[in-house]
Amino acid sequence: MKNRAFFSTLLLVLLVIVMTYPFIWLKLSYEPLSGVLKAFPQWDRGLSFFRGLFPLLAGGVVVYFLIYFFKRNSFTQRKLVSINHFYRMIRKNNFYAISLFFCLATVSWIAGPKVLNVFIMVGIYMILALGLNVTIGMTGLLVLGYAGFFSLGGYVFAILQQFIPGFTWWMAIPVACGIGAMVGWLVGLPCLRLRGDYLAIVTLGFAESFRELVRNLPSITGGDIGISIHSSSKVGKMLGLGVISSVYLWVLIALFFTVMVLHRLYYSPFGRAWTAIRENEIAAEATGVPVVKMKLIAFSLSAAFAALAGVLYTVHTGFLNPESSAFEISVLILAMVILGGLGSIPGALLGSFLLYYIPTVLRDYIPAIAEYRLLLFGMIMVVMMLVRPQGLLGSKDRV
Amino acid sequence: MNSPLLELKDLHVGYGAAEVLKGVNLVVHAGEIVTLLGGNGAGKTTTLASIMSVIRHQKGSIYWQGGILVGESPDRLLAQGIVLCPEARHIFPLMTVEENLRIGAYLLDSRRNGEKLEQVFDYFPKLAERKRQLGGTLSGGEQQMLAIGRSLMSEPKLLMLDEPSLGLAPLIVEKIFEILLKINQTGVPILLVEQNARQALKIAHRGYVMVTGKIVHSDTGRNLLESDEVRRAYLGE
Amino acid sequence: MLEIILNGLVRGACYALVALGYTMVYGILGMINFAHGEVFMIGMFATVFGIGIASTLLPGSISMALCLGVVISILIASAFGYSNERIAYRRLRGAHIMAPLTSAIGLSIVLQNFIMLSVTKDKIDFPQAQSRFFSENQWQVCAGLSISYLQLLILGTSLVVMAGLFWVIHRTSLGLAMRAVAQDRTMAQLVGVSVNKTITTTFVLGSALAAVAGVMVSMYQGVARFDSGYLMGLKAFTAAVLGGIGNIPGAVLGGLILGLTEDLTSYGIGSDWKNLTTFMILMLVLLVRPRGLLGERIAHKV
Repeated sequence: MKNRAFFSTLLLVLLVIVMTYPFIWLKLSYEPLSGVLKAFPQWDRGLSFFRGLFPLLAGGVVVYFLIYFFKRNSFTQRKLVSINHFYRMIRKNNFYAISLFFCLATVSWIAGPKVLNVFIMVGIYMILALGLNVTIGMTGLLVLGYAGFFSLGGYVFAILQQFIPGFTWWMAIPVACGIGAMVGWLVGLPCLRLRGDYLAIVTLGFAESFRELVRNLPSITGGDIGISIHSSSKVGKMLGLGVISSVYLWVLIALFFTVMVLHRLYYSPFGRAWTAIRENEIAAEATGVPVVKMKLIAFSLSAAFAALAGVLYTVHTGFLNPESSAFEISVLILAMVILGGLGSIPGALLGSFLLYYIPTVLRDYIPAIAEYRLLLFGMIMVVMMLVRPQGLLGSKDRV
Repeated sequence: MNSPLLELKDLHVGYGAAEVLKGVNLVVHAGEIVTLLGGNGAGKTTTLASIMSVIRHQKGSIYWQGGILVGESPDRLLAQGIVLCPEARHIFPLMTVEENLRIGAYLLDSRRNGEKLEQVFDYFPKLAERKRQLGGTLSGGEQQMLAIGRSLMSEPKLLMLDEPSLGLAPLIVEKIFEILLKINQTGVPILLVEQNARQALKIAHRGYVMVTGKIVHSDTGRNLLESDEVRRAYLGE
Repeated sequence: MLEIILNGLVRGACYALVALGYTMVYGILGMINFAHGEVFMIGMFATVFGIGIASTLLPGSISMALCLGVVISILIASAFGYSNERIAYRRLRGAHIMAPLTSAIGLSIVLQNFIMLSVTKDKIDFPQAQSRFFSENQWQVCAGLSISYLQLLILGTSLVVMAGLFWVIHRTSLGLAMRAVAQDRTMAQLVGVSVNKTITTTFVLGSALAAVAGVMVSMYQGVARFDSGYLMGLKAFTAAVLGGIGNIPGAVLGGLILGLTEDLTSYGIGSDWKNLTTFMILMLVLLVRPRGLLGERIAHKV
């Protein structure tokens, strides 16, 4: 039996080598006279590909051994558990929560704009991951076009500030969240009566269509070029801080607000209804949970949080273009939630920190692998699922 | 008596920490109907599953036609003639009745399918009427007949049935048991797992009674039917 | 007008071929094989590379190179389909549905970036020597309607391939096994169907269909890019849902409807709006027929 497994793995490796051979090693060129396409092996090509890949592979092997080593010492396990404990401690005691808030707030005095910029983006992604966690983690509904709602929120703000003088960002937040929730409701209505997969494709279609809509209405949205924000609508300086520090503080406040609301909801009848739907929809229905209504609430709530993040993002960058609803962003957020652990609030926070912070740092310090970043990203997603499908902080019984 | 067709010796099976079978000994001889009785959770279905090697056993051994079975995959066992007709029927709902039957002979030479189909339709004329109907549209009793028919298509040398009476009207149960008897008379030994003890014991040559993973009684069908203990425990008298 | 319908049908046939792969895998595993669009893209690249390899090995014959290129493309795409299943999905078969899906999304990112990094960031061209015959000749059906040989080839091939698939699924023992695994995996195992083999075969078959689509689309559009798979995957998946996912004729119907809609929208409103119209149609269909146009009529018992 063991032998057979070994041989089939060996065959698989051989197959992978053969099937990737042409793409890596061959060079296409047209014969000058006849115009016939020819393919020749060219060693430099393949070698340069592997040279770029090498740091990744080496890093991967190191990480693998580290994980293997820590697994045996159950060190990482304890680390992960301690993150959960830390989160619980903060949730139980408001004093801790307030002190944590002030600790993080002081960063705005200390850190330079470059670091703050990263932190603001991490915060925005954390809100997004938390919002998506409501549908995909808590309720078990797959949403593949979450960036569509993110972009929608941003555009609500960007467009309104363009046409209404004196419209500032904080007025935009309730409007954007309201519109986000409403659109979420409308998009969810036809497909939430069905199995989860339909929601996946419909939201994906929504994000794509929204992008197309934005691009096709240049007079309102600025089309492909994008739209910029009047300086009067942006965040003003406060507490004697620079603009970027003030944005950081507001994002921090929004993040704490999001965590608080979602935590409360998760342990409320809503949260229990969502969990019931995720675990067994039919049983939930039979025990009287209004399944469709609860799904719609979860979905529009998560759309509203995406819209909130969209407004914050637009305020921060002062600019918005249709690429904000790109599939890559949806996937990034999805990966954050799944990496952190489905249904886990600290998991979503950890996942978005890791997946935004690490690639940014990698890009800044090791520019050589910037191109290979996404490849690495995809590999991590696959390997993560094979090794720990419940995510870093997800509990096994939840999955 | 010559060597038994199937023999379980001291079979232990557990799911994780919970041990479900705690040393089961059971014998099926050629041509017999043997029934395995017991309440919910006694381990009857687990016994069949471990014979079929759907579940691995931790201790003990299974002998088939004198040889020991170790880690054979279900399709290898099927090829050797051990056929399991599982609980809750498992009809393929979107296949026609005929396709459901044909897939029973998936591993076998398809040229003999015609005569085998005739034979199944002989036992169950209702299925012949509904040849073109989808499996999912049949009634419970018809589905059970179809499940048994499908097992017959596999040319069983031992037919194992898991609760064929489950959820069926008494009249239909009686009919199905009549047919099982008929099938047995053509020389196919049957291992029948049942909760409907009275019906099962009526047709069985021998019976085993199982309680929480152990065989507590074994006797001829008639003796068990008349035994006070069995009557009290399983026949509600 | 007829010409627009014809273009729509051709486009729809390509969608349908890719949609079949989605629907087959969904039918048998209940999972969205997100990397399928990428397999299609690899099929496109493999065709061009295949033609290059073939004309290097057998110089001279242009048509022979095309045939060999198609074969190589199918082989490579099938190999990718097979190894995708082995590496990224097989171990996750019992897991929560989110797990294989994430793995599939990760895989699609990997495949896309692999092609981008190993071949090129830019588009590659389909060799003119091979496509000239098909794109320059046309058949005048009647006044106002002429079909290029290429369109004819696409329609014909997809028709043959679909008929072949239908025959495999409904008339062969492989098809019987595939349907059995799709409907009741435990029982399939008990009647002796090898579940692993059947699932792998499904992936290989779906990938081969995607490769056929890859050959035809790369020839039709003349170019291939590392991100061509994304939009195609999205469209094909929409087509599969439109027709009722898991349903083979449904995928074909959905693909054709989608192709027609797009070309009619481009003609009537403007090509900038075709994705939006597609989306509207999808929403409408789901509102009226929640399980898609030809969705399964017998509910699975719970």
